[in-house]
Amino acid sequence: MNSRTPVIHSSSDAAGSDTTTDLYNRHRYRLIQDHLQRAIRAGRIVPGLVLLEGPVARLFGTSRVPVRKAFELLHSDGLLLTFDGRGYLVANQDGTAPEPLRAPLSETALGFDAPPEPLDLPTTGERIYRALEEAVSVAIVFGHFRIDESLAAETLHVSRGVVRETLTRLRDRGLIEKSTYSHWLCGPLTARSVAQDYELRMLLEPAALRSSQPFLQHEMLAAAIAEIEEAIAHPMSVDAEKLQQLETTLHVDCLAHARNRKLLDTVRHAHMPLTVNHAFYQAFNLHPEAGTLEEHRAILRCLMAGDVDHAASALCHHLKNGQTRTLQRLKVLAVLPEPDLPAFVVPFP
Amino acid sequence: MITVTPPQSQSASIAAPAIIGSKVELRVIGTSVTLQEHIREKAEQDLGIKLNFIVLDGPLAQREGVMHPEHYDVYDQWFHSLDCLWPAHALQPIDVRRINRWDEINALPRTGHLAGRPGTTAGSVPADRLYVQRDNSLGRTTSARISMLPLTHNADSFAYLADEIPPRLIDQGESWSWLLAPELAGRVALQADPAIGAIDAALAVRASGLMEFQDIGNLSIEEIDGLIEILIEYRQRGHFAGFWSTFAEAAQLMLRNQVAIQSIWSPAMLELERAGLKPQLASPHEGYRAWFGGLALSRLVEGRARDAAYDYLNWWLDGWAGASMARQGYYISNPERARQYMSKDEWAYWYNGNPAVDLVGPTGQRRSLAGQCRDGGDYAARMGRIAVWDSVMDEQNYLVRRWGEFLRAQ
Repeated sequence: MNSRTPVIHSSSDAAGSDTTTDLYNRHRYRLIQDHLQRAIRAGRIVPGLVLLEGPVARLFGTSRVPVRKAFELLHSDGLLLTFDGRGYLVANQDGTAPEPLRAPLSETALGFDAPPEPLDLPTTGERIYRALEEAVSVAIVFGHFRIDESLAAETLHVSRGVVRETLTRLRDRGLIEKSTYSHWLCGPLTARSVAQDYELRMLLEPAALRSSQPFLQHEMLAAAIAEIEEAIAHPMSVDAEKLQQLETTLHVDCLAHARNRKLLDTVRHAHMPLTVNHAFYQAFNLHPEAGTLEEHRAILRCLMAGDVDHAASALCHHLKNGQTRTLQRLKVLAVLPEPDLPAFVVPFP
Repeated sequence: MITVTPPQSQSASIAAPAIIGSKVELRVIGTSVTLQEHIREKAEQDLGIKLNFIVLDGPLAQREGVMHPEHYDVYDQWFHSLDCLWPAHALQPIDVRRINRWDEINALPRTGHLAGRPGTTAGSVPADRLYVQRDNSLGRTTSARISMLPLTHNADSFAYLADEIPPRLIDQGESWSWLLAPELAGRVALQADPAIGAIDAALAVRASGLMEFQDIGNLSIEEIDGLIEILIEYRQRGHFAGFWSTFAEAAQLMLRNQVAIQSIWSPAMLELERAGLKPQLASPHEGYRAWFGGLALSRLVEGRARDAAYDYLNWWLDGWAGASMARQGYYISNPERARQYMSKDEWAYWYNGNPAVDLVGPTGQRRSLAGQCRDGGDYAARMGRIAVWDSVMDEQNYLVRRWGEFLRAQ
């Protein structure tokens, strides 16, 4: 490796990066999936309604890619069904197939009970999300900080509402807290909090995996295995972004079908260690060691073979090793000099 | 974009690796503890290589060590700093089969204690990070690969000017609590590196009865907060006269800033003696804070430069360097070899704790130690009474940030 200038990306460059397109799409498909899932379960979308990618994408203000992905996931959950025609049908509440109903797809037909949150927002939303996530994940290494909503809105050229909404999402991931005085607070990153997050994940992720496993699609697992094989064969090609993508595949996508949403929310709340690792790999421009990648592969192979017991124990083993590795990496961060943080990241108290 | 780079002044002189004519140039990064001109000249002469010593203070050497393995071939520092360098893949394992005198290295760095003496488990115990394990982590299980070649080491404490210490304290016997004695307000200095200074401070706080710590080598968040609060309070009362990063700064603090007591590194004693001061090194009844130094290989060193690096590592175990280290108060991991380069009197004073006769320093300067004994006795007595090793704690990142607040507090 010739160049090892350690760089911690701040909000400004992350905001406009093209390399994050995949991530935007991933977040978008989840928004779409979540919305449709809620609406179908609540009976707000009439069974039999034929959903087509194009019109749904227009309603959400996105491309067809995230809509296709959301449809596939809803299909694997049994909420959408294929039929002898283009698109998907909305299943009956009991999962059976109704007669196809071809009707114009409007906001009302898709169960929006209010004019949709400006779903032309996702790109901006994701841009702001990435910017604030980066700022917070860098700041917490260096102490305890308050995020100034107005300054953030000013710096990122968006409304305070958008900033607030984004910070709420970061709170759901356990990266930020809201104090009793309504301050948004983050950090400090400690070995104790990392260890506690891992303890929680060791308890919950295997359970979530067991619940999600029956719904995992062969194609998705095959793609995930191909991706990890590629990473093992070419570890030098795995940068911080790529590693985060691999982590998301295993620790988010493979668990996503668990029926217990509260369980998944709690797991997501304990994902701060992923942020530590991302900060570590980005700061030192490193590539993951073989152990991490091989543990991922072992879990995915068990899932592919339908062996959920071994998959769950391999996941537990991976998280245990991950805890050790992450705590070691956290010590290394101690050598980093304090960087200039964005103005909206204010030392607290 | 937030870019992390070392200060220009520190990195400007760091050249790319070079082979000049037929000579290999080896870049060694570390601190003034071991990177000294007379060592460099002698090693160049013995090995027929060029040596470029890059001298930084401890934390900066660690930062460069972690972030820029392309800037050095050999890393010369302390075992505790491996907790920062090893997970960052900055180093490559050393093949012990290429270390000629590997079998001469004594038990302390290999097993954590000397024969017949208990070892402490507090702090970053060198033996726990010596051997490279099958999964590339570091541990105590022996293997043919090591992280760092164990060399210089010592049991550290503080130095004081006996005339300036109130009789109340002298009567109580030497204790880390002296560093926080109210009578000495304004005349106390500490080491600025948190991996060392914070431990000295914690030893002082504990000895003063201000706080208890469950494991003084691995403080919890609450313990770090409590320690820093106490230190800030003392700082605001004007208790500390200064903080030092190199032993030269430590000497200056005592010479110019009226410091009467401070944590100290042994080479500073030479400079103080030269200036006519006669500070005493303490042997606190609570035990010493110990450290182990050594040499490690950059992940990127290869070919002829790596061969030269192995030659340099081996040279350190040949005896001459060990004898030179002894004359500034440091031990070497294969002392019997160093003994061959020391006079009987030198060995008797530095390793056996006998009264000094007529001794010289590392570069031949006379030392005024006649009749005195080394603090704490002989090698086994001193290295067998370790309260804690220098440490990179689990919460090191948190400690470093809070320690920074203490150093900045007004």
